[in-house]
Amino acid sequence: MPDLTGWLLDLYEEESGGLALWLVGDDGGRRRLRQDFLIIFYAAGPNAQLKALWAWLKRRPEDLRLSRDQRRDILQDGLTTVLKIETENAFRQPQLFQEIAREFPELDYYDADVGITLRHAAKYGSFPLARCYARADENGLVSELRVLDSPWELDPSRVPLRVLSLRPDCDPAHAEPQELIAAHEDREYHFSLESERPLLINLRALLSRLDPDLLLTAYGDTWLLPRLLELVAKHNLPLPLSRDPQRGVMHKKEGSYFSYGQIIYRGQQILLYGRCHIDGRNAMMWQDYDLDGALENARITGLPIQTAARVSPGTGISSMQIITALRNDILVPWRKQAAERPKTAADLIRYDQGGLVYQPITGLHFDVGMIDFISMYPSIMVRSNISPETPFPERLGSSDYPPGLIPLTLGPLLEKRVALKQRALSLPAWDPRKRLDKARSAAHKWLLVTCFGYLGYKNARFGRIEAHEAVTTWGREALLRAKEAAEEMGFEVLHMYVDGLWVKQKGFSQPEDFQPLLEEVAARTSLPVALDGVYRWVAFLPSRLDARLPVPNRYFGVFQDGSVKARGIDLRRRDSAPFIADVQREMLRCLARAGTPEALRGQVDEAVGLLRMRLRALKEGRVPLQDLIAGKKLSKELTGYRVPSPGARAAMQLLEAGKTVRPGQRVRLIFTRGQPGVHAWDLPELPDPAAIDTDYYTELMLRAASSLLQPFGLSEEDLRILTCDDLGEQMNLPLHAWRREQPSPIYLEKK
Amino acid sequence: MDALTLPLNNQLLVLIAPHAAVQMMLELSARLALTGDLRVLDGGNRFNVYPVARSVRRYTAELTSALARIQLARAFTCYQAAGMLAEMPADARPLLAIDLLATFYDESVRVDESRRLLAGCITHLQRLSQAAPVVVSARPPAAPFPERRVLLETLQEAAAGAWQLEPLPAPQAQTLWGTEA
Amino acid sequence: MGRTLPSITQAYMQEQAAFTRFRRALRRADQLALDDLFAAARQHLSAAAYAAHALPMETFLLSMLLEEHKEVLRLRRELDELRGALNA
Repeated sequence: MPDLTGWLLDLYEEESGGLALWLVGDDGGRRRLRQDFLIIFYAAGPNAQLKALWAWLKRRPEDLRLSRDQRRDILQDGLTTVLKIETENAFRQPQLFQEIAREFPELDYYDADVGITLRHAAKYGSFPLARCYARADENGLVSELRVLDSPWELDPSRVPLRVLSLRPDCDPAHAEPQELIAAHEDREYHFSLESERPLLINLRALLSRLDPDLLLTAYGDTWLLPRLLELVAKHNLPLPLSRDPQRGVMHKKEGSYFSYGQIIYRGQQILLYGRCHIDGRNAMMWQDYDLDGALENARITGLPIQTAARVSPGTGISSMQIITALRNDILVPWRKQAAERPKTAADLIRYDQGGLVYQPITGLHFDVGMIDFISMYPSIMVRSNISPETPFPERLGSSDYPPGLIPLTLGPLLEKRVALKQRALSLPAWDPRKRLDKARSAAHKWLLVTCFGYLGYKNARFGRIEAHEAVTTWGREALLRAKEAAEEMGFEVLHMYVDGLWVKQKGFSQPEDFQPLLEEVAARTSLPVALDGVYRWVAFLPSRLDARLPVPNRYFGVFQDGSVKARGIDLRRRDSAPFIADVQREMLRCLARAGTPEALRGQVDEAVGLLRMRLRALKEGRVPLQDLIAGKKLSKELTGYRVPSPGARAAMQLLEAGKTVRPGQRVRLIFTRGQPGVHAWDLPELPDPAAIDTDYYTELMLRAASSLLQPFGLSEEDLRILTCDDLGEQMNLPLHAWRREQPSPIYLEKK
Repeated sequence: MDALTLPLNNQLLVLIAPHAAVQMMLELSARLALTGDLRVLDGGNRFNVYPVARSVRRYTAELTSALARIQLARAFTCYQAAGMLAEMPADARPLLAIDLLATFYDESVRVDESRRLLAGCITHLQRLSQAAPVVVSARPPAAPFPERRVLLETLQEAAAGAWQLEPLPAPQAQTLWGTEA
Repeated sequence: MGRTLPSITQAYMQEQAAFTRFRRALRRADQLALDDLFAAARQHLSAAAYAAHALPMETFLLSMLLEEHKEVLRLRRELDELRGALNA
C-alpha cells in the first residue's frame, strides 16, 4: 500500500490486539488501517501488596510485561514507586483492569482507565479529523504515523466528509412514524416504515452506495436505530450501519444519575465503528452549536466524535487534562484521593465564597458602559498558575513556579478563543469563516466555562478544592481592583457581577471614552478585559416581591448598535412557553427602537399596545397550541412527590398512556382549566383548545411583561387594567395619564 | 442534652441522630475551641461557622483566636474521608467527625466498597482515640437504601460508647409504587 | 462544589428571622420602619460577604447605619437647597 495522507475519522481497539484506524484519504478513499499499540498502566501501594499483585499477574493467561518504576503523582511529593504493567491488547485492558481492581482494592492505580483515543493523542498528537500521514504494508499494518496539524489551528483544512441524515417523519414520542426520510446533499429519499423488508433492502443499498462518514439522525439513539436493529433481527437482513464489516454496533443503556442535587437523564446510545453516528436530539449542546461545534469539540478534547457529541463539557475538560498529563509524564489517577488540607474556621469564611455579586442601582440608566473580563476564571487559572500541584498564588498575573497541569492544558484553548474573538470583530459579515468561527467559539466557550467548576468537583481526577478557592479569591480581587480604577477615574459603578461591571460617567457615551478605563483595569489586574458595549439605556430590575430590593443579574437593555441584551427575565428561561418568551422579546425590541430617552415614552405606549393585542389573540384562541407548550423538568421519581408539580401531573398522564418519563427529562405540557390543570403534550390526543387556561397564561404574560415595564413606572396591576379590553378600547388615553402619584424612575433620571 | 456533660475521655464516642447531631457537634466545637486546639473532619458538608462563632461569642470576646484553634478539613468522597483519617497523626487534640457516613451512603459507590473503606476509617479512629477524645456523629441512611444500615451498625459496634439522640424513624410502609416519600 | 458556608444572603435571612418575635411585638408602623432597616442592610450584602466576618450581624448593623447616614446627608442637602431658595 502506498503512503497515505488524509484525515483521521475513527479509532478503536481491535479484539485481537492493536488498533483500527479509519482514514479519509486525500484520494477520496476510506481506509481501515491497523496499528500496534502498547498500553501501559500502573499500580502503587504497600510493597507486600504489589508483590502479591505481581505474582497474581504472572499467573494470568494474558501476555503482560511487568517491571518496577518510579513515576510522578502530582498530588504527592517526590516520586512514587509503581508496578508497571504493559500489554499489547488494548481491547482486553479495561476488562483486565476491572479484575485487578476487584482483586486488589487497596492499591492505587494510574493510567488504568484512559480512553484509547486519549492514549493515542498523548503518543502521536492525534485527534479526530487530524490530518495525518501514514505508511502501511499490504495488510494495512501501519509502520509510521505522523500527525500534520494541531487542534489549535485557526483554520484547519476542510475535511470532505460524506454526511447522510436519517429521521422519522414525526416525533416518535408523539405519534407512530410512518416514514423514514434519508437525505444526502440535496436529495431526499422516503421509505415507508410499513414495508419493512423493502425498507431494509433500500437502506442497505443507500448506505453501500453513499458510504457516509457521518450518520446524522433525529431520535437515532432512542428510537430510530434501535427500531432498525429490531427489524434487522426480525427479517434476518443485515444492515451495514457500521462501516467495519467485522463489527456490529455498540449499545449503551440509558440511565439517570445524580449530580450536585440535580438529576441528569442520559438516553441510550447507539455507536458505530468506522462511521460516526450523531443524534441531534441526544447531543449535549446541540442547541448552542451544531455539527461544526461538535466536531471542534472532538478535535480539542481528543474524544472520539461520537463520544464528544454526547458527553458533558466536564468530560471534555477531563480528557484534555489527561492528554496533557500523559504527555508530561504525570500519572493519571484512577480515583481522586487527595483531600483538603486543614484550614482554620476563620479561613473557611474567607475562602468558601463565590464571585462578588453586587446589588445594582435599580431603575433606568443611560449611556452605560459594560466592562467584561474575558474568560475571567480560566485566565486567572492560566496567568496565576493555579493547579492542584502549585502553591496558592501570591499575586494576580504571574507566578514564580513552572506552569502546572491546568495552565498547560487550558493555555492553548484560551489563546485560540481570544484569537477567534478578535478575528470575529474584524471579519466582514459575508466572510465564510465567520459562521464556522462562531460555531467553534461556542464549543470553546462551554469548555472554558466548565473548567473552573471542574477544578472543584469532588470526583475530578485533578481537582482540588484549594485551587478552586484560589480562583474565586483572585477573581474577587480583580473585580474590586476594576471597581477602584473606575471610581478613581470618575465613573459611577452601577452594578457588578463576578466578572463584569457596569459604569457610567456624565458626558461619556462613546466606546473611546471607556478606553482609558480598560487600559487601567488591564494594567492593575494583568487580565484581558474588553468593553462589551455601551448601552443606550439599561434597566436593572428589582425583586418582583419587593421593589426596594435590588436583584443581581436581572436586567435588559439596548446597545448603541441597536442590539438587545437581557438577563434573568422570562425569555431566557428554558421552561417558559414560547408565546410568553416571544411576546416579551417583541416588547423588548419595541422598546429598543427608541433612539433617545424622549422617544422611550412613546415606545412604552407601543409596547403596551402590543401586549394588549397579543393577550386578545390568546383570549380569542388565535395562538397556536405549540406556542403554549411549557417544558417542566421532572426533578424526581413520580413516587417522590408529596404534592405533584405540574410536570409531575403531566408525567402521570403519560404514564397512564404507556410512556415513561425519567427524572431529569423535560415534560411538555399545556395548562388547562380545572383539574388536573395540565395536559401532557406527548399524549396521543391533543388538548381541546376550549379547555386551555387562558386566564393562567394571561397571568404569566402579565408577570413577564411587568418585568419589562416596571422601570418605566408600570406595575403588574397597571398592566392588568391597561390590557383589559373594555377599558382599553373605550378610553384611548396616553399612558402617562394612568400613572400613579409617585413619579416613575423615568422622570427622576437626570441627563 | 448538654454537650458539656458528655464524658470526654480518650475514647471513641458515636452520636447517632436523624440529622447527625450537627447542632450539637457545632456547639461542642465552640466549647472545645474556648480552651484548646481541636480538629474537625466534616464528612457531610455541614460545618457552618456562623453558629459556632455566635456560640463562642457568648463566652468570650476573643473570637478570632478561638476560631483559629479549630482545624477543619472537609471530605467530599468516602475515599477522601478514609485517606484523611489514615494520614492524621495521633496527638492530644480532640477530633470531631461530623456526619461521617454521609459520603459512605453515596449511591455511586458500591456497598462493599463503602464497607471496606469504613473498616479502614474505624481502625484509624480507634488509633486516634487512644491519645485524645474522638466524637463521631452519624445519621441513618435515607429510607430507600436499607442495605447501607450495616455501615451505621459497624460504626456503632466499634465505639466505646454510642448515644442515640432521638428515636430513629420507623421503617417506611411499602406501597404498590414503592416507599412513601 | 464544596460550598459549606451558607451564602451571605442566607446568613442575612437567618439574622432577619432571629428578630421575628421582636418584630411581632412592635406596633405596625414600627414594624414597617424595621423592615426598612433590614432592606437597607440588603443593599450591602456583597461588602458583607467580602468582609468575611465571623459574626455577619455586626456588618448588617453597620450597613443599616450607613444607609441611615446617607439619608441624613440627603436631607441636609435638601434642607440647604430649600433654605437657599427661601433666602433668594
